[in-house]
Amino acid sequence: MSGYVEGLLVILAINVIAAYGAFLPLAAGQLNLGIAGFMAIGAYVAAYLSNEFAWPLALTILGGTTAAGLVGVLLGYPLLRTKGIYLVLATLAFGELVRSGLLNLEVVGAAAGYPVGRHAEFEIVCAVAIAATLIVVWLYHTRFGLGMMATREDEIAADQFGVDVRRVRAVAFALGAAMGGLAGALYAHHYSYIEAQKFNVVLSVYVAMYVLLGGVQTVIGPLFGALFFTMMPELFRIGDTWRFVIFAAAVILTMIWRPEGLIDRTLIDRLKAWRGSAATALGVAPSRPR
Amino acid sequence: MGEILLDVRNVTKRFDGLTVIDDVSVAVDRGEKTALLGPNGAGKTMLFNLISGIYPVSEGSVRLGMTDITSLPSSHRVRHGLARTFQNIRLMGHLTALENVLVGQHHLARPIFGALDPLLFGAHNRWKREALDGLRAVGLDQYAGIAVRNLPFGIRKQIELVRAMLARPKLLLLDEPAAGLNPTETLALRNQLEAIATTGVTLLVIEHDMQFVGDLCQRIIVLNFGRKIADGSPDHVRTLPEVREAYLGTDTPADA
Amino acid sequence: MFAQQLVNGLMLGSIYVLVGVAFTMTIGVLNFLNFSIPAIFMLGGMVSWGFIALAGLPWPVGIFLGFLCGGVASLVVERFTYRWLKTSHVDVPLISSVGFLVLFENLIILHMGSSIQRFPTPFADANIRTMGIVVSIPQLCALTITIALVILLHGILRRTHLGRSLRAIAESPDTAVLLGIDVNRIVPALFLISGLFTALGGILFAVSYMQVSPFMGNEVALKGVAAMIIGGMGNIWGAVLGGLVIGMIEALSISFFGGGMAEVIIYAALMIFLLVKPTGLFGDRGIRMQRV
Repeated sequence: MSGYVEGLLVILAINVIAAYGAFLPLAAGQLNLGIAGFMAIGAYVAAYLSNEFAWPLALTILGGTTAAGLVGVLLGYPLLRTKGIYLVLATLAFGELVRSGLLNLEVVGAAAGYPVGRHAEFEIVCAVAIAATLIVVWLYHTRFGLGMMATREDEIAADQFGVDVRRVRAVAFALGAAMGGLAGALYAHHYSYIEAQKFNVVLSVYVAMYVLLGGVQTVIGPLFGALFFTMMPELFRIGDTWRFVIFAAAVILTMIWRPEGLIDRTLIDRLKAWRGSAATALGVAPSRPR
Repeated sequence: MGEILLDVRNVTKRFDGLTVIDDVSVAVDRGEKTALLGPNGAGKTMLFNLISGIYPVSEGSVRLGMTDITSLPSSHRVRHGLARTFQNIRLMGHLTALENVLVGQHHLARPIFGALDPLLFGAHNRWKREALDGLRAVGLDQYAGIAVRNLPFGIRKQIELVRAMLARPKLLLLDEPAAGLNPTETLALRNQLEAIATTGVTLLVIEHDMQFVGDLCQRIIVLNFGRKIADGSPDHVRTLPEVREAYLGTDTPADA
Repeated sequence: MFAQQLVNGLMLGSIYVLVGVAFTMTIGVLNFLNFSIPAIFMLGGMVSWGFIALAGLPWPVGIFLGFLCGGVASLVVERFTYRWLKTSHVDVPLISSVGFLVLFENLIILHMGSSIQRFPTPFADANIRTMGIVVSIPQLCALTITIALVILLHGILRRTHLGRSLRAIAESPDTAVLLGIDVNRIVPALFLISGLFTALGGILFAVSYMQVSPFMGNEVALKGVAAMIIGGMGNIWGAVLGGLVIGMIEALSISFFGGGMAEVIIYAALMIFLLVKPTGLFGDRGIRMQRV
């Protein structure tokens, strides 16, 4: 595999993990515009553990992920007492707070950036991304996942049937934070250099945008969004800036015509129906109705 | 019979100085079918909201069986045998019919391991079987995989009822279950509710359709302006002047 | 020394006031956090620069065109976000406006590069000295113009048909329609006003700090939001106070802790506000939260 393709797959892998980090709170109805802050925590903690304590790769990545998750837990409960727009703004402020705080932290290089000793090969990054995706898919199909979806759709009805709305949201937020941390930790170890300035509002915003572009109704929507965002420059053979212009235009138009995102439930139902009728046509017995 | 399941005592609810429920007491016996009537704005849905915990009471108490649920968080009340439907159907629009009714079972799952059980994969687990049976019992299993926002009104109402029943309630609160249904659907609903009642579930129904109520319920409670103005058998309540006055201008019970 | 910082803060704050007012107006009337506002701030500055430095137009003309461009851009945003999306899930218009933020920023980068540019200011070094404090003339003008505009806006909201219509929509959009208010003309007017305010903010920033860049909006965005929150969402005079307070916090932080910490302090203050007293110092007016 060429170095170029490998590089692309790494970017895709990290974007996918970040996407699921933003997706989990959204699946429960909350928009987290501070995912970059959690990515920064994951990156810097992993880098620090690696540089200062020479921990093995698996542990530093775990450390970064856990740190981000813990901050997500600490932030989750007070944050979720706020509602709607206040919540979104608080996550935005959080992301910027982390960035500007790290920028001043001499021990991790402050504005000069922070080199990372240990390198994570592209195979590891991709393997972790695949594992993360499978975990989210599994989680989505559990009772907890159903609770998340129910909370997003109608929190009052969900509450009346026993869903602890606050707990579901706090857990979804914390897991999303951990995912963000995982993405950050992998980024740090693969590119061997991190700077706080990169983990800014714009990054949080891009991640949220491609998740919403892909759609949060299904668990593969974020995957699709990350794919679209990452592959687009390759498809159109265009420079960086034009890619963002087209991406922004795509988001604006999608919000008008398909506000649920490009992949939604109806699409999945139609695909399943098509698969079912194809199976019948081929003489293969259809599975029991879902 | 004769054992009180729902005991609402001297419940008052105020919002910023406005009293919407004023010293209402209701005692419903196990196995009874009771109707809650009153003109629009009388506070019927608000009373349901107080019983099911969406709003806390300002004064008074609510007991369900042996348990005082007055201060119990709303998400815990379903565990004590309370389930309800809503005036403006509250289903989860983007979820399928099956997923919607699965939500009804939520409180029955074990706390941690139950939460992590990947029941939505495949069709061969007890939760899905039970949910599908529930839908099949009312002839709706064909819609199991369809997102409910694409389904017609009458079917969505039935799904809401199936969801409530899957919560295995002792007390079922129904908020205008017959609203918007045609006569055929209304008859089917009545038969369903009769069937549910024979399994021992206690019914408390908010309705406007006097015919429906008269056929189904043995007892009628009437609210007006947040106060209880009548409580007794249909025949008795029909004759009360306060009740006729409350419904002034519309078909009064006495004309039924 | 302290007094000097306070004065600096007031000057700095006037720009945050303009952005804060733009945010607070939109959210107060339409319950919509318009995230394209920082981009329009940037357009005010960058487009003016473009007309002056690249097209060689006279300074006042360039400024005026930049100002207008902000208004037009805001109308475009209205057309493609709020107009279509009133009935969708709450997050959708927000993300759409974010899309415009990204779009405008990158369109400017395509045409004018991504570097910081020097913005020509005729009377840059003019200042007055009183009581040991130095006050720069451009910044003093900025403050004066800002206050004047807010007073004007206040007058519009209280005394004109437009103002009454806006307040009616803020109370209840459906009732406003029933009352015969032409929402399809009033709402664009609101966007135009908020766009002009924030574009002016960009221009005043360019004039005061003598530089512009395609990223100038990102720095100001959260500070404008903080101004809005501190004053209470929907509260215009609250945003004025909020903007000035943020300006002063920033000026004081820079002088006592250095530039880097100023941001930390502001964002921490914003977060604390949001977690503890999200309705701001004066409470938010007429904000409809999630549809229950």
